[in-house]
Amino acid sequence: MYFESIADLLAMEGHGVFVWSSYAVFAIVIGLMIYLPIAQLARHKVRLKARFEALSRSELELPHKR
Amino acid sequence: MSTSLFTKVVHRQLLLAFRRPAALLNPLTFYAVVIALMPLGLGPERQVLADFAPGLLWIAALLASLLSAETLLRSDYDDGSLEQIVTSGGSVYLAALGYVISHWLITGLPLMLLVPLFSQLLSMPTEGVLALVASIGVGTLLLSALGTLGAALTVALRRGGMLISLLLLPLEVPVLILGAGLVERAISGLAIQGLLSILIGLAVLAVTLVPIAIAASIRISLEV
Amino acid sequence: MAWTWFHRLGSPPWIYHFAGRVLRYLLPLTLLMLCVGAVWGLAFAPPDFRQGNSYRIIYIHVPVSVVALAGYYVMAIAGAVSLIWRMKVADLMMRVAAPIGAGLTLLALVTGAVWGKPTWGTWWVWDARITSMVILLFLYIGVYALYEAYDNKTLAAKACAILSLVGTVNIPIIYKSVDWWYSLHQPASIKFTGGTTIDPSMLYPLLLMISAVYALYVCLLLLGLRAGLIDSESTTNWVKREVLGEH
Repeated sequence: MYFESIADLLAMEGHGVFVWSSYAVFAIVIGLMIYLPIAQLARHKVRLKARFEALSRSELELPHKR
Repeated sequence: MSTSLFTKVVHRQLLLAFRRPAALLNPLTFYAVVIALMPLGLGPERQVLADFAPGLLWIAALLASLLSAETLLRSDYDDGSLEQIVTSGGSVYLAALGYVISHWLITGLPLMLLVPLFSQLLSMPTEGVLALVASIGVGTLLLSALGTLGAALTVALRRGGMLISLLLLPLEVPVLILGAGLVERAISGLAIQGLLSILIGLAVLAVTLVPIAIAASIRISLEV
Repeated sequence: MAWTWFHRLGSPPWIYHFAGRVLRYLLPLTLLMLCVGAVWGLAFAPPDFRQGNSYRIIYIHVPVSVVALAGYYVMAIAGAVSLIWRMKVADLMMRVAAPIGAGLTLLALVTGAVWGKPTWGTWWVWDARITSMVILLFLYIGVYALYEAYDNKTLAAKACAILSLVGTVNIPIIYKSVDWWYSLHQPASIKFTGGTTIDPSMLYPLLLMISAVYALYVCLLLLGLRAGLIDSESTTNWVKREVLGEH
């Protein structure tokens, strides 16, 4: 490792704030961009599962098939 | 075969503009107002205004072009003329070209003729006036092409408003840069033929190719 | 024959499952590449002669900028495919590519600004690259806004395809004119690598991060595609089987 210690790594000769905040923003934004579609897919599946099950139940209750 | 769709559209647009002078005067009045606002915002000092004049004159041209683009196709869409043009079996490309050229004749050409006057309101050095006229004349051709495209994409939408500006301004940045740059070069006494040729080349490219996209967009808007 | 492969690409269930299979391996690989690249760039690469340690931002700024620009072409190509072959999957890919591209462009701008502060002393500098990035951001937002403005999504996709194609032709023109504009007003521009070749110890982590962000882009595209397909195809049998069959 180029730096002498972890403290040096964090400080980066005074530029630490800039470098670490950039990497933090990067991690947060990337994390969000990965998480959002995964969560959206899960939500869709839950919603559609409920809808399909409700539909199949209502088909069973009808006296005649549509 | 009678006159092509291009001639018909140009003729019709010019006739409408002639009957309703507001189409001609509104963009010019808007331009004059924006120019008049500049000293009020920047201060009346001549040197300051003169330094910024090329950029200011060009930015005002961009804004005026946006304003006239919004309503460019709206009345023809609303009263069904646009639909007539498409279903008539003629070339929608030529009709689109007609809209572009007629828009330039109504907004760009008058501006090109009057811009020397506006440049003196901002005390722009006279060395730049000829370059200004040339750049505005050619540049507004580009702006008309892009403006008509923006109009065609948004004419069927209910809430067009800001959208057309958002769509067009990034695309119009090169025109602004080249146009203003041209004038500044002329003021500094440098040669402008190279830049002017590039601007003319872009304008020719735009006027010949953008109507293809405009025609496709008109068809899309009519299906909404 | 090649056409069967191409038509399979246009089939929503095939793409959905193919994307799922790819993601199972690509997503962990991408995250790994990103971590390794970031650690390498942060701690193991030597500092720059002129900029000291603040240059390390390059390991996220440059990859994100490059992919943000490439992403516009992906979006435009998807639009072209959708226009020519009328593929619903291409429509969706274009629609998904817009916010991903915008997000990456925004990241590029933020990291560029934060990099600018220690380097040039100011939070914002209208240099050629940053100015082009700002315009790119507006181009992305424009496509997204146009898509949302149309109620009929098939027409929305067509309109956005046209807009992104016009934008694609315009991008090199914008870049060239901004470059020229910048050189007009700033006679001496300070380029990071300044003509001399970049040292391998700095180049390799950069290449790794660029590949990692490209891989990330593909992951994000596939993730968005899967979510979009389940939603837009929600009335079909394959979706029904997918949603119910797992439980």
